[in-house]
Amino acid sequence: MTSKKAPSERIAYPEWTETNAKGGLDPLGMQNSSIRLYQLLLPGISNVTLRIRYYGFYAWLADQYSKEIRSTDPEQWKRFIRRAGALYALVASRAGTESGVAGVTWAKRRLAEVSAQQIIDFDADTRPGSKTHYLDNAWGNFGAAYRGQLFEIGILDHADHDIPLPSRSAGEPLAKAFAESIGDSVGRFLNCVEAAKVSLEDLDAMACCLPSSIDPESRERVLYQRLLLGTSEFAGLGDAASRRLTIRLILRTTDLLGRRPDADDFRWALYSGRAPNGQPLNLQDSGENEQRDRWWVYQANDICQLACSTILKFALDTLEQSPGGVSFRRLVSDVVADIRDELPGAAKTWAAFLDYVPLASNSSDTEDQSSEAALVAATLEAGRGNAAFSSSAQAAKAVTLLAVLQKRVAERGVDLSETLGDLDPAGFRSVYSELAFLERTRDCNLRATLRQLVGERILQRHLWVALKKLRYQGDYTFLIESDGGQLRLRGKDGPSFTNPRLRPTIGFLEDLQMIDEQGLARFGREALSG
Amino acid sequence: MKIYERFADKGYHSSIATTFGIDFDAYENMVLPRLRAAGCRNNLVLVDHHMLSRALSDDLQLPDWAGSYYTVCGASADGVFHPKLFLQLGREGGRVLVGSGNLTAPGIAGNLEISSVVECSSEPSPERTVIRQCWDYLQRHLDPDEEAQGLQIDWMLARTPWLDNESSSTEPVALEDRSRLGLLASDPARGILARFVEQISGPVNRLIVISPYWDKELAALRALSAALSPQKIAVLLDPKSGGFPKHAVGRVPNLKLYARSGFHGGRFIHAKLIIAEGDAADHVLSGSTNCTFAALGNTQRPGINEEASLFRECRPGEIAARLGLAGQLVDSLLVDPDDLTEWSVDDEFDDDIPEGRLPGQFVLTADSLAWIPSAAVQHPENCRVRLFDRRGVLVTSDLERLDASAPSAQRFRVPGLEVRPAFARVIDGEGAVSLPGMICDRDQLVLAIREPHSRQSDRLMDRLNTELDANPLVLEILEDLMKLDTDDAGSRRMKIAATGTNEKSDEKEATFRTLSYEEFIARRRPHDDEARDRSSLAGTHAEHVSGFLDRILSIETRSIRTETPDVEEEVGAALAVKDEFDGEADETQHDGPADEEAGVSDQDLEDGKQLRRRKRDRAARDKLVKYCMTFIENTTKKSQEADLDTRDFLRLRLLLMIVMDAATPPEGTDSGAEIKVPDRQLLPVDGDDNAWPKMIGKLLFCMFGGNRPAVSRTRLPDDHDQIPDDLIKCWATCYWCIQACINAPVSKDTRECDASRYKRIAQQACRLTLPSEQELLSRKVTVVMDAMSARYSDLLGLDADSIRSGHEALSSKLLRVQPENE
Repeated sequence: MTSKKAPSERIAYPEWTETNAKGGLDPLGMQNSSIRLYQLLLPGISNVTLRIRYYGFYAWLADQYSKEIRSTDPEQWKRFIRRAGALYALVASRAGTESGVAGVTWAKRRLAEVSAQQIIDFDADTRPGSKTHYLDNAWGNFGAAYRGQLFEIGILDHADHDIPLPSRSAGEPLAKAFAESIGDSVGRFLNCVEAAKVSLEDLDAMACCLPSSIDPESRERVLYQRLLLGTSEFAGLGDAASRRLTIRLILRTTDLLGRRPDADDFRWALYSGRAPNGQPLNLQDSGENEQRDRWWVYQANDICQLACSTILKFALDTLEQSPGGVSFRRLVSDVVADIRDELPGAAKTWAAFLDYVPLASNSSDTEDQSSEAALVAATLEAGRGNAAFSSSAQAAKAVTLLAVLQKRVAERGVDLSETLGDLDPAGFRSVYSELAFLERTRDCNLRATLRQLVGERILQRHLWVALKKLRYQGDYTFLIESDGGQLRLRGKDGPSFTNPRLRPTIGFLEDLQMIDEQGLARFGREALSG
Repeated sequence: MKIYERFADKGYHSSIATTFGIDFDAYENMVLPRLRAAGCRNNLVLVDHHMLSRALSDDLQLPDWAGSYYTVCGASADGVFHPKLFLQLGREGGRVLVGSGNLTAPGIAGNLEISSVVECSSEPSPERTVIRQCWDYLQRHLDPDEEAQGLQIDWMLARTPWLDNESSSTEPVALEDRSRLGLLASDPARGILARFVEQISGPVNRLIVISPYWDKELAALRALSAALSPQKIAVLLDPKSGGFPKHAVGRVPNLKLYARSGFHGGRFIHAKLIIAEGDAADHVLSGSTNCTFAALGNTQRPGINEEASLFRECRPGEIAARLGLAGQLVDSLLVDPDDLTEWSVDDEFDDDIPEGRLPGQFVLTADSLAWIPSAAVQHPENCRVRLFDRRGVLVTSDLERLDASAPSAQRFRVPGLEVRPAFARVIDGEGAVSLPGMICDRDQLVLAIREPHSRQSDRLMDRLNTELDANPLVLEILEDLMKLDTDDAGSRRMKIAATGTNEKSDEKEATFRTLSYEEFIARRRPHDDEARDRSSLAGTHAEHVSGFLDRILSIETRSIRTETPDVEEEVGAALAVKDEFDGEADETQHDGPADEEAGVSDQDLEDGKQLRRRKRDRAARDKLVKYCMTFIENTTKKSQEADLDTRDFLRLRLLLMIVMDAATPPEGTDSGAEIKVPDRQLLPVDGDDNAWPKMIGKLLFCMFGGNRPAVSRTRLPDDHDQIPDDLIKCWATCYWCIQACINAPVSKDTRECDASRYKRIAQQACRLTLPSEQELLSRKVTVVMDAMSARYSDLLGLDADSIRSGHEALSSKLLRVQPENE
């Protein structure tokens, strides 16, 4: 009755049903609690904001647009911003060594097509939807990666019209500093954007605009540092205090390790309070200590979701062995039996199992097989892809990891409810909810606890999460399908940590020459001592 | 086609879905909200009995809203109940999806399923015939005598009159282009395979078969091969699924297997499709039928399952092309049978049969629970029943068993319910606990299934909401609303096709759906004042007028607050569901307009408009009197020819209140500033044939007076084992009015003339309605009487205490007299 088809087209021709399958979407609804935490710990930066200089670049573009073009037509702004983004990619690609610039794949292809004397016309490539587009996103790299963070960190302001404006407090100073840094390239860049044409000579001349070309002595560099740390004129912008504390903790970790840290180094150092070699992380400042506590909860939370994902992965691998399907009870029973065989036989209850589980003195020491770091490394071997196959030993280590977490939380006296208690328990599962479950079943038979863990907390949880995603997002994310009383494997996913914005943040600090491969660089030491 | 998006299509008020397996979460998340948001609120699901047991055997998988927002029934077959029909019916047309997918997440959105849509308008057409075929098939599995199903089916048919106009047939029908279409469903006389083969004339060049499940020895495929002698048989399959018995390949001539390769990759092929390609036409069978004997049978014998597939004839090569099969069945994708994964399943079963058994059907009406035990329950009279909420938490095990109305039906009173139970478990004499049985919460279901208001009813209710007192306009609104109800319900209920043996059929015919008034009263038990409100008008438009009368009397209706679906969902979802259910919640809110809107007559009079006002009043009075006399005439006539129903009593209650609102205060009455004075005071207390006590007397005499009082011809629905509240309110209004007549400030002559008549009417009214002191003085009665006194006594110079004591004295007197009479 509501069909738009002509009558002859809708009379009972059989049709295939369609679906909207998606994967890699937090199958247990647990990563979302980790994401919620780290968003508070590093505001204004995202996992796709890879170079700090884009903050100045877009501030400058918004400033130029507001001064030179001034059209409130979003299409004009879109064309301007896409052309500028594409041109930036061409410049970076021409320079050859720049990382973290969006569109270089397209740019390399375009550069390969032209000879030295030719002009590159990128007008068509920057039209949204064009076959040769430089990026899918209608707003280019600006829309795909930076726009939200530029507003959050306070560089852009909303206006009555739809075109963003550089904020007076941060955007305009950054725009001015960026323009000062690139000097003569200002006019050249804008002309190329206007014409949507550029020569190789122009590209070479504009290399000074690139992310790695920030002059260490420039005002631009100083402003970026102040922006990240929320100091001087940038104090009070957004939630700068939390970002400042996290960045100071990164600098302290760098100092502790004596080298450029990666994200894992930082997470484990803050979780264990020491370097892998046991050297303690000494924090004097109470603010830094409190921020470290928050990162501790984040890490514990992420370890918890990783452990549960490992158990899910083992269940999926077990299910894969029955291509004809298996009942839910049978699957749970098989998975639990295999895991139980790997655990100490004498432990009859979860409480007894806790007694068996040792607590490492240094949770980040991968040499100690009882440490969280070692257990995490073992569980990560379960793999994520369809080809990977996990073992019951890995699943048992994941269960052990949960026990270690429970003991660690008790040892440390952490009140998880302070950080995680406010999250909707249906939408967000977390270390708080899962340890509460284990606490409730503490004195139950260990096998029964494992059955509940595998059956309810993991498999049923996944089915519930997938169903809600189907209902509300229209995405089919089921890894397990239950039909006709049989469970069948649909796809696989496995354990992985969330990405708490540390990689780009550490990259920013490198861009600003605050850290380098040897550890703290000059500006980093100055910032810590300041 | 995204099946789940089709559920959001508008134009239907009811749906009946059949499925082999059910995932309640999937239905309640993917189907039910979309249906309800689209106005399709009367929803019923038929599930294979065995699979229903399985679904209910897992506490974590229990439905949240079955029994209160839709109903689920188990259906049986010699094999399995396997059809996947989704029939939707509306006032202007219908639609059926004939598919292969169950009501599970994979069936709705994940698997590769096949589905066909047939839509029709209310006008005659070949498509309408097919819709009727589907309905005829479904009727075989519906039980209209089961209370909840009966309610839903009646409701649906009343709003789908065109369905009754379509004649039944089982043969495919010719479409405009002369191709044919029809439902091929299980039939005890002839199997689906046999009927499919009969439709095919001419040689079959290629037989294409897609099926997730096969016979161990490919019996059905061999039967098709033998009957059609195709030059080639092409089977499309997933070589890794383990669903095809490769050891039997050699038993089927000309069989070629083709790998799906990337064809809709990643999705389990659950579609069931047979295409017989010929020179003149292709013949297609698609739907629930796997290529198994259980589903299709053979040319000699029917299968053992209940199945439903759609037969479609179309142009040669058309279907394979439409489905993208033409490029898939090519030599490069041929599979060597030896490369197939070993056959590992024989059907959609496994041996994981849940412990325990379904206990039967439960229907909760107010605080009364009816239990029809399943055949698996031995000695139900010795069983204990425990009730649980929708989260599985015990609500109560304190049930008071009442006398069973039949050996196979147990009845309980469930006192003090704070939470509506959703499931019942039965514990037999040996302590064995049943699976949870879903409780149909009849009161909630009635509210849940009603259609969104039409524009006309919205307009009428808007007008009703602006009224401040009972007046003829309200009666007109009531009549219009009742007409809407009559349009809904007045259509002849279609005869439900008998199923099973004649014996069973006879048994069903003996089950009455309504009882006589006397029978009804005989089933009555002492009325429970604390119970939830129960209304025979629930779900009707007329219910709003009953609510209006409560509102102007400031009577609060009492109900147990029920949760609505999805309140714990994330914000976006919760908001969407709240929209869906807001309308129902708001209907309990009756905020009247501001006081200052009332009482403008004094100002009018002061403005010198008395003459016009009197003229208008006279016309209004004449109209009122006419309405009363029409009611008396119609009621008298109706009671001689037919039965009265609860709507007649709503009319009576409204008319009594209209008369009271039109009553003129006696001279010298100080109405006081706090009393809200209706603006139509037309009927004097005395000195006129149209005095309000006389008018009340006439109305009540018509109902309770004479040798054959009309009230004795009342037939009530058997939905309630207690007197519905709307009836009690009517009778309480009658008690009050007759006492008001007895106590009216009239002249001595009038009193002497009329008093004894009023007292006789009062006695009759009490005797014929609630003939025990306990009930005559129950809280539900006194609340209404006190509210009437509060509204009218001071205004009309009546003594509220005298009215109350008069009624109490009469009640006591009746109690004393009654044994003597007996």
